[in-house]
Amino acid sequence: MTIAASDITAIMKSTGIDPKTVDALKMDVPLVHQGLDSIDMPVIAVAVEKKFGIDLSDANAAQLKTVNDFAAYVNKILQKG
Amino acid sequence: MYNVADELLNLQSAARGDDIAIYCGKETLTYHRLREMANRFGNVLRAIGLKHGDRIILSLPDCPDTVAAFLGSILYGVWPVLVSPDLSENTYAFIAEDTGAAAVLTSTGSAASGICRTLPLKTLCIQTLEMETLLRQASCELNPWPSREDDIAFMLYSSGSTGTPKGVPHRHRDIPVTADTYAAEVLNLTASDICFSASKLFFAYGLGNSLSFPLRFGASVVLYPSKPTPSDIFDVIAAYRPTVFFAVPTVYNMLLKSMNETVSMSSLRLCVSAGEALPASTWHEWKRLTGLEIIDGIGSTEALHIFISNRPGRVCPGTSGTLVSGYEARIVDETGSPAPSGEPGHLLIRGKSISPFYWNRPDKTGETMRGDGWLKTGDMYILSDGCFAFQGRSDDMFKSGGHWISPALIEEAMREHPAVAECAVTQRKLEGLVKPMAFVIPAAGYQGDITLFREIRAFVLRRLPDHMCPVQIEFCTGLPKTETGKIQRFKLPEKILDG
Repeated sequence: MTIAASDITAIMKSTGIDPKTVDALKMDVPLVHQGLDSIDMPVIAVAVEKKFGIDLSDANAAQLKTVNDFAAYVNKILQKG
Repeated sequence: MYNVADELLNLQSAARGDDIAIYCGKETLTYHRLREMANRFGNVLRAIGLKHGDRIILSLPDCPDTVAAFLGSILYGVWPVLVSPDLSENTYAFIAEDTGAAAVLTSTGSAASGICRTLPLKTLCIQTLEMETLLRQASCELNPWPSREDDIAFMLYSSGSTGTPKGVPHRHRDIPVTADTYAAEVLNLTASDICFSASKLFFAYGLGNSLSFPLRFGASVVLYPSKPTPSDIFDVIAAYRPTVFFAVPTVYNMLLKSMNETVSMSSLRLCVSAGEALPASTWHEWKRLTGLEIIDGIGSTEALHIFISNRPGRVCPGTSGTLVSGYEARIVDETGSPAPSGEPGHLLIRGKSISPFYWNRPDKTGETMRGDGWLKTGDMYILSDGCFAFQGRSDDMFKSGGHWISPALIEEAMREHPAVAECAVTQRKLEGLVKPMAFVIPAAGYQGDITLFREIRAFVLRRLPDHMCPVQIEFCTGLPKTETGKIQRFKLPEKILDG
């Protein structure tokens, strides 16, 4: 299974982040530069965990900056199986 | 006689009077001018009728007025009580009563000014006509109060295990002790340094970083009045070119999320972290991207600053490092005997900067501050290859974003929501850092779904600071409890991944 950036943005919308903010996101620009803050970021991480059953307890914060980062990280974990 | 404010201001104003002590926005303040402002503040306290030994609450953003008011109060012999400008009205009311403060100095329109005007204490606001007039009329000369080094000089507030803040008084001597041990030995701070701390002055950590340390060594400090975003922090570093940067791990993680190739950290020689354990992954990533080491350590409000720290060039990532000179540590088991080698135990600390008692709390003083000078930190530690490694707390409290979190306080706020029948708050790790998470039994007629999750979070955010808002809420039908009905938080799962 491989996921796309659109899977991540769909999860973001499901957490209650304004859909207009999500639709305007550039996939490879840090989320904190696009109107998302320290309150939104952990909620996105938890929602991604739950959607794909992965564990981000010890994930490296710097590897999860952009939508593409999240998608790549999830794909890496899923491929490891 | 020994007055720490007099000493700090005298040390520099003679030799370095025209050098810049404080940068704040477009404002700069020389050491000479800081002395003058502090003297005027002290004289204002006399003019409004405060007496030596009275308390004044300072609920202010980080700005030159705050530094001058803090030092001016100590010069005059009044204890400044530094508190956050973002507390709730109830907390200000509690602190006003607990301290028996004679006055509060705050900003116009703040929660503190609103509640304190209804209480029997003098309320002053900075940058108002009243305050400016008082300062203008006050003399810029002031004879310092002839205190002794063991007299109380000021007070900070630490959040307690029940969620009720505890007043932590500190003596005149405590400031030079932290500066001459940690700041001198670990940071090697000198007059050529420019300090910038994302942690604010009302934290013991921020007070050292932005006030005691720069003043003790004749360095400069950059003050940033509001809560800085990662971009603000990068802008400040680019504009003022600080040499030492202080923050908590949560801020380092946010900076890493915001970092790009245009960010320059070339002015920095040291990055410092405290407040909660710094994940090794954050340390490595920061080093990779900036070339700089983060010097992580552990301190407390009671000890005033850091007592165990890593050392530049000898960092052991994922640990708090080794003892700072002048402090002693013991790791003990439940009976107070030394914990077996390699086993986690309670960390006790002893040193000359440790507060002698909690204000008005003989019960807590007895539990935490032992008569022989040892302070129970409440932290569980293990000695690993000579370094102290954090293992968790010995109670339900935990630290997130550098702040103490009392699960009980978050539960109390959540229970006010009509959809929350019962709830329990615990902690989980996310991206290497500890965050609050909650378990909620929905009230009859409510559905535990994403809509309710969002609603409860918004509800909590209106009542509590950001770092206390659960990042995850799990809806459930029961909670683990003792026979007497007390929630057993330790039995709650650390995280739930399958949604």
